Amino acid sequence: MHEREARARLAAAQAEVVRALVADGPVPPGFDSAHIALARQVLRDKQAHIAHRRALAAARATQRATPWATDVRRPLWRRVLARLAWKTR
Amino acid sequence: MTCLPATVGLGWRPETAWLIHQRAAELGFCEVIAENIRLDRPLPAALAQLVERGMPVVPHGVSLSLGSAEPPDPARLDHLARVAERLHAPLVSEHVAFVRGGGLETDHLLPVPRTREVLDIVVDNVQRAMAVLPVPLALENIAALFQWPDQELDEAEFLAELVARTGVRLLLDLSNLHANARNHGWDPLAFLAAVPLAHVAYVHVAGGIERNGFYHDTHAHHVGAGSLELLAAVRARAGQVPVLLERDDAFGTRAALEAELAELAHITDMGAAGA
Repeated sequence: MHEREARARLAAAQAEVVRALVADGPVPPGFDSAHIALARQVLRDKQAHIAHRRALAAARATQRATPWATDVRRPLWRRVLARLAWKTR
Repeated sequence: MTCLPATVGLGWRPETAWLIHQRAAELGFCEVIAENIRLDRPLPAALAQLVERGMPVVPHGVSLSLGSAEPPDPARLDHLARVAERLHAPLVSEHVAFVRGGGLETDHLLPVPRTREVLDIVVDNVQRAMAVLPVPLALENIAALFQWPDQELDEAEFLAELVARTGVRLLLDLSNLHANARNHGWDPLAFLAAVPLAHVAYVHVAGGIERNGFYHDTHAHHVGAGSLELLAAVRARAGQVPVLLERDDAFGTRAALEAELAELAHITDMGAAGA
């Protein structure tokens, strides 16, 4: 019983902090607002970095799957050949 | 309290895989992010080769959230256990942290409030995890972006009690210790005196950068003097303890990485594996 209550208290406190960090929630009482503001920025930067790496990986996967469509640096004759090869595979 | 050789190691990433393979004689162990290992497909070939050759590979979890109010998720625990088995790992590591709350994920390691009530919860969570895992567990101290108000214990006390009550090992991250000392005004040597160094399974060091008066543990810069001084202090107090260099980004040249590894070996007097 005591354990359940203690866990519920911790859950509520952590939910408040997480909301402040990633969901524009208010800074909970007693916390240093400068540190929370910095933490928000660090988490935002990290999310942007993760999204960027995922986008890069997705772009690479697309390029591998459809080289004739996405590799604009290759000369036209190579792209046409690659497309023919893809169409006849 | 370590199952790893007393050598320097390097975090396994696709970008460092080749260097680890080349330097397998000197690097006695490595560490891989557990969540990046898919159990439904073969291991990356380079990693599989290391495992085959008998290099200890430690699965390092980042999402178990043992500092959460909820007990650890059985599915995440199971994944960690099965990765440990797949890699023939001598131990696994995770963090004293929470990463989610109120149904939201943060993808970041957040500090737990250090009260006796929370310590009881974390002890219970850790015991549940240890009951499921097939090998010993080591827990890492994190770099805290903020501090909770009204705490009852300092970080060293919290970790010491956690170790005393569960028998869990420690993954002592010296760069996180340096970060907390800089950012929250603690004495890192007092921390080292209070934490049970005999229970340290291995040590982490990583690079970081100071920006606007705040030290950021980036894992993307050269390891700084602060971390290296703490490494020398651990060497002096606890003898030769395995040390892993973490690098996640901005890998730079191979020569620079090798120089950094050599520097760590020099500070800790730890030469090649088996030397």
